[in-house]
Amino acid sequence: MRFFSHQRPEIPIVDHIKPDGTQWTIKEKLWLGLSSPEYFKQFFRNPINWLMIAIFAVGAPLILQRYIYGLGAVTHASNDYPWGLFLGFGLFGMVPLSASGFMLGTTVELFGRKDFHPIERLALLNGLLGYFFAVLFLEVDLGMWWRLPYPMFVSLGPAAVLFLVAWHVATYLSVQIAEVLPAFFEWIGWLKGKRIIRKMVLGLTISGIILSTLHQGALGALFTYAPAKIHPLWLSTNFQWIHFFCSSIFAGLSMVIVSSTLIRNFAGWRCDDVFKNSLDDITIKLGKGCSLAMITYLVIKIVAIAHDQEWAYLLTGWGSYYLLELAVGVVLPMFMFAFAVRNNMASLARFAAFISVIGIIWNRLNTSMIAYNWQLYPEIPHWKEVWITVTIYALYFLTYRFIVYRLPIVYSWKGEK
Amino acid sequence: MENRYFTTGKILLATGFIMCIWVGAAVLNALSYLNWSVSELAGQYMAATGMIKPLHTMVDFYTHIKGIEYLICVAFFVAFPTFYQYVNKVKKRSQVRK
Repeated sequence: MRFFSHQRPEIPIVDHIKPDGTQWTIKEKLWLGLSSPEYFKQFFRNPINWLMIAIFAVGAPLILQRYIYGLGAVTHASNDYPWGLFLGFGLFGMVPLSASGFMLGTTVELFGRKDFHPIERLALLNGLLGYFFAVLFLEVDLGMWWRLPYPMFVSLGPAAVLFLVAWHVATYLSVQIAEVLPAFFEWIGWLKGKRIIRKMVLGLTISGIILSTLHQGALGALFTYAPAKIHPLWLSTNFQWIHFFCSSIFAGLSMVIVSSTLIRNFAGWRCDDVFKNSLDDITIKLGKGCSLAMITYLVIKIVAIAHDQEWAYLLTGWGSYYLLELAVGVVLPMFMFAFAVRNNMASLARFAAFISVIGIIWNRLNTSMIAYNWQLYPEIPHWKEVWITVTIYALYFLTYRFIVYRLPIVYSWKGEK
Repeated sequence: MENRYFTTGKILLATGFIMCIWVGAAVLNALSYLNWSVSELAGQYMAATGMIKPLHTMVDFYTHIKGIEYLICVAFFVAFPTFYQYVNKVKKRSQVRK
C-alpha cells in the first residue's frame, strides 16, 4: 500500500469524493481504491499474509475437528484442568488488554482531555475487538454457540459470577459497538446515524465505566470458585477482584501503546499527520498512567500476601516464580515507564508497554493454568490447542488490520463529518 | 547559603554511602554463613522479625496481619507521593543567553 500511496494521490481514501469529482463506491472503499489485480498484487507481496495463510491452512481444519469431535480431540482438557488456553489466554488475557476502550473514552469524553482525541478511536476499537474475540475464544471453548443466551435469558443464575460476567460482557460489547459506529457512519457517509450516536455518547461512556469496572473485577472473582485449587500466592479471595481490575488499567493502556506503535511503523500510510505528530506525546502521557497504576497494583499485591499471611510461600520455588513474575511483569516496566516519562523517551515507554502486555498475559496464564492445581500434575496444552489459539488470534489481527486500513480510526475523515 | 546546602548534601551522601557499605557487608556475611542461600536468609529474617510465627488465636492472627498491612500502607503513603513526584518532575530546560 505504501507503493500505491506514493504513486496515486487519491490513495489512501480519506474523502467521499474522488479527484475527478465522482463519489467513491462502498466496493471501491473496501478495495482501498485499488483495482482487484492491484489489491491482490499488494496482498501477496506482504510476507505477513503468507504467514496468515499458513496458520489458517492448519488452524481452520483443527477448529472444524473441535466442533465435530469435541473439545477432547484438540485439547488436554479434563476435570482437573477444565480451563485451557482458550480461556486462559483468550478470555482472561484478552479482556484486560481491552480495557483501553473505557479508559480513553472516559479520559476524552468525561474528563475533557482532548489531547488524547487522536488515539481515542483506536483505543475504542482495541477494546471492541478484544472483547469480541474474547467471546469468540469462549465460543470455541464452549462449543454449542447457539446455547449462549441460556445463562442470560433461559437458565438464569443471578447469584453466580458467571451470570454477571455474561451480562456485563454482552452489554459492554453492545456499548463498544455503538462507540465505534461513528467511524463507520463517517466512512459510509450516513451522518444522521453519527449524530444519533453523538447524542448518546455521554451515557455510553458512563455505561462503559460501570460495566467494564465491574466485570474486570468479576473475572478475578471467578477464581474464588476454586479456592483450594489455585496456589495461594495467585489467589487472594478478598483481593482477587481488585488485582484483576487494577492490572487491567495498565494492561489496556499498554496495549494501546503497542498497537499504535505497530500501526505507525507498519501502516504509516494510513495515519494522518495529527496522529503521527501527537503519538509520542500521547505515549508518554499513557506511560505516566501505566506507571502510577502499576505501583498501586504492586502494593495491593503485597497487602494481599500480608492479609493472607503467605510470607512463608515466598521462600519456596513457587514463591521465586511469583516474585519473578512481579519483578519482570510489573516492577521492571513500572520503572521503565517512570524513567521514560521523566526523560521524555517515547521509545522506552513503548518497550515498557510491550513488557507490560507480556506480563499481564503471563499473570493470567499463571492464575488460570500454571498455578492451577499446583499440587497435582502440570498440564501441558495439546499442540492443536496452541494452534487453534494462534489461529483465532490471527483472525483478530486480520480483522483489526482490515478495519484500521479502512475506517477513520487513525486518520480524520475529510469533507462533511 | 548555597555553600551550606552543598555541605549538607555531601554529609548526607557520605552517611548513605557508609550505611550502604555496612548493610552490604552484613548481608554478604550472613549469606556466607548460610552457604549463599538467599531463601534461607529471607526465612531467618522473617522468623526474626516475627513475619513468620505460630499464631494460636484468631485475635492474634488478625492483630498480626493487620499490623503488617498498616505498616505496608504507611510505607505506601510515603512511597506513592515520592514516586508521583519523580514521575511528574520534568527536567527544566536551561536558558541560553546569546
